[in-house]
Amino acid sequence: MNALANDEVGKYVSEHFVSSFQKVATFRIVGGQKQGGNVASYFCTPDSRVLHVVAGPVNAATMLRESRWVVEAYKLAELNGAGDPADLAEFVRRGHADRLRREHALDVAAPDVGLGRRALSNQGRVHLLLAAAPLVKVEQVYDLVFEKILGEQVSTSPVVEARQ
Amino acid sequence: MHRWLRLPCSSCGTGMIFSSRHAGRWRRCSGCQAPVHVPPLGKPVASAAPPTTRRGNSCWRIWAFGAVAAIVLAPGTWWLLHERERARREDRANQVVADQVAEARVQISRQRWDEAAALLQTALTTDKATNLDEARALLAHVRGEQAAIFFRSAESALANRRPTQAASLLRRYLADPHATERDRAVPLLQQLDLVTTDGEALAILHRLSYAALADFARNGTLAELESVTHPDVRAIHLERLRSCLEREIRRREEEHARRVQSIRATPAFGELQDFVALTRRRLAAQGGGEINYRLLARLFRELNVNGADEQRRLLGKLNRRPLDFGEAEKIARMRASLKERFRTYPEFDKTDREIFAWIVDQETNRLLQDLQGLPSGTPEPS
Repeated sequence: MNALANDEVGKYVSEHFVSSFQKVATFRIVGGQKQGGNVASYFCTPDSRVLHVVAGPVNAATMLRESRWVVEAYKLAELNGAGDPADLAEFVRRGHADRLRREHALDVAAPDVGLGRRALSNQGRVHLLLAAAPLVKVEQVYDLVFEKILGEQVSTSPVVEARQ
Repeated sequence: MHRWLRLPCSSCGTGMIFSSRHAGRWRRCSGCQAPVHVPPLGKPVASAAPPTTRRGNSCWRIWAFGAVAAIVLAPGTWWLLHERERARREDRANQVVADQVAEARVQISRQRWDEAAALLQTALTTDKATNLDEARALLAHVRGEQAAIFFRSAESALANRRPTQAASLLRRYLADPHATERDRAVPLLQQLDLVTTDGEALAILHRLSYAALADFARNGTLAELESVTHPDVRAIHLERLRSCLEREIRRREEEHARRVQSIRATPAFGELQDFVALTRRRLAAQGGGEINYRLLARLFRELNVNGADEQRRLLGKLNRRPLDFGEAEKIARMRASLKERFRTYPEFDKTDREIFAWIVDQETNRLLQDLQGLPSGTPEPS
């Protein structure tokens, strides 16, 4: 399920983004296989404002689809003249709200915001978060995503490598 | 049969009769006790001194002795009689005094001090009485108690929140020479005299700094009242000061409004307003989107973030922006520059400068909070 090892994904991401990696928790490597831990992929603006998050490990097709959505949405925002950060934020908010409605059947414009509905998936929660606080900086939101949405614990402990 | 021999005394000439069996012996004169030699029988007796003269002297002496005795004894007797009479009168007077002292003690036991004092005063004026020490001591005690009534009444008046009456009673107590608790009464009166009228209370409040006045309004503490140790006096003063507090606050508000009005007309204030507006516009252009609290509340429910503290923490984090040191420095410089500029205006005094500095601090602190995205007055999520 290593989406980033996929050639097509790698090519697309390299073409449109500058990639970086940050370990925020610990896991074990046993016999060359990663055990435990989790992953979240952040698509950000150059000043580290979050446009989108993919919470948890996904397959290559999903990663490619989400990457394309971010790029297309950003281009559309530019096309609509959203040069001002406030305008871009509003555009991002609408984008996530639209996906919530289409993919998670949650209408954020409804007065009760889907109260009483069954719980959202992790990806739905990400859309809800970014509809509530669009263009938030990655350092403001990474621990909320990691701990509250993915249910992991942020930690600075080093990776433990063990033989099988 | 004895024969009798008549001989005069060789010393005093007193005639003495001796028996013949005393012949040749020594005897004593019955008048002067001088030794007299009775001559042996058959020997001639030497002739004695002229008896006539001696008898005359003796008479004179007897008369003289009688006269002296009369002169000495008569006044002595009179004196003795007089002394006896005086002692009798003294006893009677002392008895009267003792009775009155006993009656005074009864009145004292009933705490009827005036009656006791009257009885004791009468006792002390009793003629011929000498045992007056007890009456004097008792009268001093009664006078002390009479004076103490003023002090106790003053304390009672304080407990009943009647400061004017208490002060008057304390003054009467201190004017009494029999007052024994001056060391308590004097400081009490001094404490009571600290705030006696609304005018004095207002003057105290007027002298307070804004911080001290706010502290007094909030906690009822005042440095000026630290010397007032009596709890009732303190309560009276606090009550009076509190009753004047609203007037003082209103006066300050009016004065503050007048000062702010004139401060607003200065170029420095205009510059502050322009700076704040421009900086805010620049920050708005730099920042991300506004938080949608309705959606955030839904997200908190979704993530089971129900604690108010945790919600506040997460909201604070989402709102916060990394501090832009360039902007922060600009704000700090403008803050100092505006205060410096205002100091050059000669028509404003120290209080005006403090008010202006306070306005500048308020505005620039708010800007710094906005710069960091700290929740200053932003609504909480539902």
